[in-house]
Amino acid sequence: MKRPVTRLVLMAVLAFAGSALAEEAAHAHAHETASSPLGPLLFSTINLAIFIWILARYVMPSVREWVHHRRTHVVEALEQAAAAKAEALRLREEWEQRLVQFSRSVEEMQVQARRDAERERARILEAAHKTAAAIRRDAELAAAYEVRRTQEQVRADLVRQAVRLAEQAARTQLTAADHQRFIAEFLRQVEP
Amino acid sequence: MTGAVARRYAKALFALAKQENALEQTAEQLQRMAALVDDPAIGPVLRSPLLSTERRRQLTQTLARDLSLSDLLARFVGVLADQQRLNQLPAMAEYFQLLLDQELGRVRITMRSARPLDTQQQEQIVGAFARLTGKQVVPAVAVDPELLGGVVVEVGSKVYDGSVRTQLERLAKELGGTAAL
Repeated sequence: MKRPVTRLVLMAVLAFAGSALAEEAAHAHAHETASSPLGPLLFSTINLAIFIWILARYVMPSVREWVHHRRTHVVEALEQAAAAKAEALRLREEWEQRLVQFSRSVEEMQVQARRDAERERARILEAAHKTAAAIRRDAELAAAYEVRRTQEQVRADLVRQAVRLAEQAARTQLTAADHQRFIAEFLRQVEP
Repeated sequence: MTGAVARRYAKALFALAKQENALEQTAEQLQRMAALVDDPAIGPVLRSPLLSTERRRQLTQTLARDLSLSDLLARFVGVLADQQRLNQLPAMAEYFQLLLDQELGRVRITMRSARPLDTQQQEQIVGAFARLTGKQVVPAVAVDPELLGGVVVEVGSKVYDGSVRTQLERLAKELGGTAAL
């Protein structure tokens, strides 16, 4: 990179020097040949030819090389930009897919969560129904037992009172005839 | 319940009395002697271990004379005194009575009633159980007001219950299951 620039500077100096020299020569010669117009034209033409030759010989390769180099650099930059753009597009597509996937996952999770909640609700409801049924059954059994026990107690009390009354009646109201009737009944049962 | 020892002694005495043809007499005297042994004033003295065998024998012989026991029974009581078996005498008398009843074809019954039974009622019951057992019935009578009415007859270990008390209890069980009287 440094070498073409040095060469370019050298060529510019030479061209400037050549041009100045040609101009000086042309100026001097103009004094000498002021009477002939072809002279300055010739010198100018030679000067231009030299200038073009110098440019073509020394400047153009460097310019060509610099342009080529620049072009390569631009092409590489464009390729890198294209690659970066492609990568960015790929990433965007990937993230879009991820977003779609994420949305789908969120929906699936919501559906699953709703399903789980529904199942849990049904399970809790079923358990509650079972518990309620068991409590009701126990309560019914307890109530039935209490009723039965109370009935038995009432019946036992009634029987006890009836027996006590009968006992009192037997003590106070049984006559000798009753006594004889008991004995006769007893003998009827005993007799073979 | 009569023990094995008392039964053995009673059987031996029964066999001897039967040989001497003195079953009834022996039974009656044995009952009197048993009552004496059961007497709270005399029994403890006769059964006392502080009394020597000789002294106990003398005492029983005196009692035998006072009660006019037969020679057989006097000797029997003497043996019991020697063997210190006088405390078994009531059980022996009871078993002897049972053997005698069996020998004579008799059965003893106890009639319990809420009111005293008159003669006719007693005869009716005795007659019924004579027909039932096919044996001569020897009755004993007791009054138990707790029966309320009716009669209960015990024949050996069997009980024929015709009391009002039992009928009420049965009725209470049928009506109330667990009603207690």
